[in-house]
Amino acid sequence: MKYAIPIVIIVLALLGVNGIYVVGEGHAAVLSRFGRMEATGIAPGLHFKLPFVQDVSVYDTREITSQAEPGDCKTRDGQAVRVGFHVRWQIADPTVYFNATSGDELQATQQMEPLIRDALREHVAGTELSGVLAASQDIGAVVRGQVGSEIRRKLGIKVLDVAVGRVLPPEEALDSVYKRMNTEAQAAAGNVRAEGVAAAAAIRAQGDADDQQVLAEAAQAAAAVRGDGDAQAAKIYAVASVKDPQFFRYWSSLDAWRKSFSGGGAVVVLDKGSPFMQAIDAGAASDNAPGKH
Amino acid sequence: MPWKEPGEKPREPRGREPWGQGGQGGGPDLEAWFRTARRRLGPFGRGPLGALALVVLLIALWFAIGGWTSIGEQQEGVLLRFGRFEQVLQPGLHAHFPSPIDEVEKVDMGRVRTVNDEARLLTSDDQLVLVDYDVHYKVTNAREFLYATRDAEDVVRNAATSAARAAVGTHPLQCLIDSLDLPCPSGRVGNDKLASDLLAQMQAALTDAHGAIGVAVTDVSVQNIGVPSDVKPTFDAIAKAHDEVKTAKTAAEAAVAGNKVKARNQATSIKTDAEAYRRQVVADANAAVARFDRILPQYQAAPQVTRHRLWLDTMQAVLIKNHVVVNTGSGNVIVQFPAQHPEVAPASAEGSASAGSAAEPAASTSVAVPVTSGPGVQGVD
Repeated sequence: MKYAIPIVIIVLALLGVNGIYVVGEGHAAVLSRFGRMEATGIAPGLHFKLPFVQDVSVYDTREITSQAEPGDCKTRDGQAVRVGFHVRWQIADPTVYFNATSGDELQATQQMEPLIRDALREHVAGTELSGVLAASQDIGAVVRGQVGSEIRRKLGIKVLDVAVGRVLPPEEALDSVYKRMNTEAQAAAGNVRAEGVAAAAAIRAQGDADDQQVLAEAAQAAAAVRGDGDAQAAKIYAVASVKDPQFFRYWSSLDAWRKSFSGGGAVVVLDKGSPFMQAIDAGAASDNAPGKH
Repeated sequence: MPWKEPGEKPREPRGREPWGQGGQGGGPDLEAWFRTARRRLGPFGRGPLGALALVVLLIALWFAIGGWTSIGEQQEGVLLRFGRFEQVLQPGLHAHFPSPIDEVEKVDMGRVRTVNDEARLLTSDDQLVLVDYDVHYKVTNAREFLYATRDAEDVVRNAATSAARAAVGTHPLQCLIDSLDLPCPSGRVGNDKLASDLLAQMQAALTDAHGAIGVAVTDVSVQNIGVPSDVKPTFDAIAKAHDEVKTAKTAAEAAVAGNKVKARNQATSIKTDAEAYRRQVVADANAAVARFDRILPQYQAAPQVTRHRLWLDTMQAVLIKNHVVVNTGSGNVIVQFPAQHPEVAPASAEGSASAGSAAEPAASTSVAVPVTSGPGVQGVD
């Protein structure tokens, strides 16, 4: 008897607690009575319900991002690639969502992903690799258009965006990619070397050409100077020769003769009939020299 | 513990305690407990007014402890009342209902948040590069940041992944890695250009039609663009090739510079030589003319004698310095060698002796002597 009041208080408190619920910001709630939906889209705030009779399920209305495991695709140009994607989605139709997934997000993504992946694979199959690599937002619109309504109908989920994430060669193709990269790098190094050799040769050739020109110009200038000297000398000789042209010619010839043999080492053949030998013979005859043959 | 203590022998109030005769209806345990509690509460325990005062005090305490929030500089607070958004609190001190009723979520607005990623990415020529980049972003709207998406950072990260894939995937490898210094017809990209591309793409993606998420990407920095370690050695070889080329070019330039100096020197000496030649021929001409002027009066005085003398002088000067072969007309040949080469003379003399007539080998050598000696010839004159 003396416990009656506390018991009543406790029961009332329990009823009160069960009859009050709070929906947080970024969430919404559905109210059901014995499994049948009675109200959906209950906004954030403090709400009341019939205790123990009505059930409340709170769900996220925020945007959720799910990343999907990369899937193997083949592009139109036959390249095998592993395409990763992420989906931004939101629960739009809680009744369908709870029926389809019992409110479990993991189930939701597991059911949603294959649909998106198939659509994506189909899209990739019709696109060149370069297009897949360059893909921007438009691919999301395409996929959304293809499976958006189906996902909404089946899962109560609104697909906000599908974006292509990583696009990489499949693991088993990495070796061949690396091999090709090595080949290209070697070729590039070879090109660098070849161009460098050519450039160095060009530098040398240009330098040689410049030097040749300098030398040619110098030779030209030198020829002019020499010619000038010769002209001056000729003038000097000409002035002198006027005094006695005949003797000057003779005297110059002797001078030239002397100069021609001044180096030594030449062989001079004196014939017996040469004036020099005759002069000697003439002298020997008068002196009775023994050297006569 | 106070409520166990009075169990069997409740402590009787002493002397003149007015509430001593209080509860006679409740159980002895509860009664004792209330009594003890009230006693300890002092004046608040006295009568119904006291109880009200106690409640008021507790509420005041509740408000005093949980009824205010200080929002720091560069922060914003999102005030929720029973879970529902109420208002955004700016920096300063704010009073509100205490905890179960109001909740305040503080968000750092000034802090630059960073998402870092080092990703392996495909280039447009199907090669792989490693790109290490940071995305810096700030919260621009605290409410959206908290409640528009479940995880705004995740959205930023995914947008970065997409943007990086697209930014790298539209350029060939040689345009992306500056340090390779390879030809790139479409224009180099490099760290800074890639960063600005990424920034533009991310801003476009995040301010797209899918609703604001309360963040703004402020900056993207690309730390490094490299090749995967599996192929690093071959790509390092490109840098080595560049080094070699640089060395070769430097060597070529040095050689050219050296040759240039040589050529200039040579050109100078050609000109100097020419100048020297000019002076020489003029000097020679002057000297010759001077000699001619000297000899001319002699000649004019005695033309025949002077002519002959000049001729002999010349012959002598020539014959002294050179090999002389004298054809005597009788089949014997006299060979005379200049005095400057005495060591050659005997050997060649023997050779000529054996080659010539064997009859008078001794005579031919002896004959050579007077020819060689200057005075012999001069004597003839």
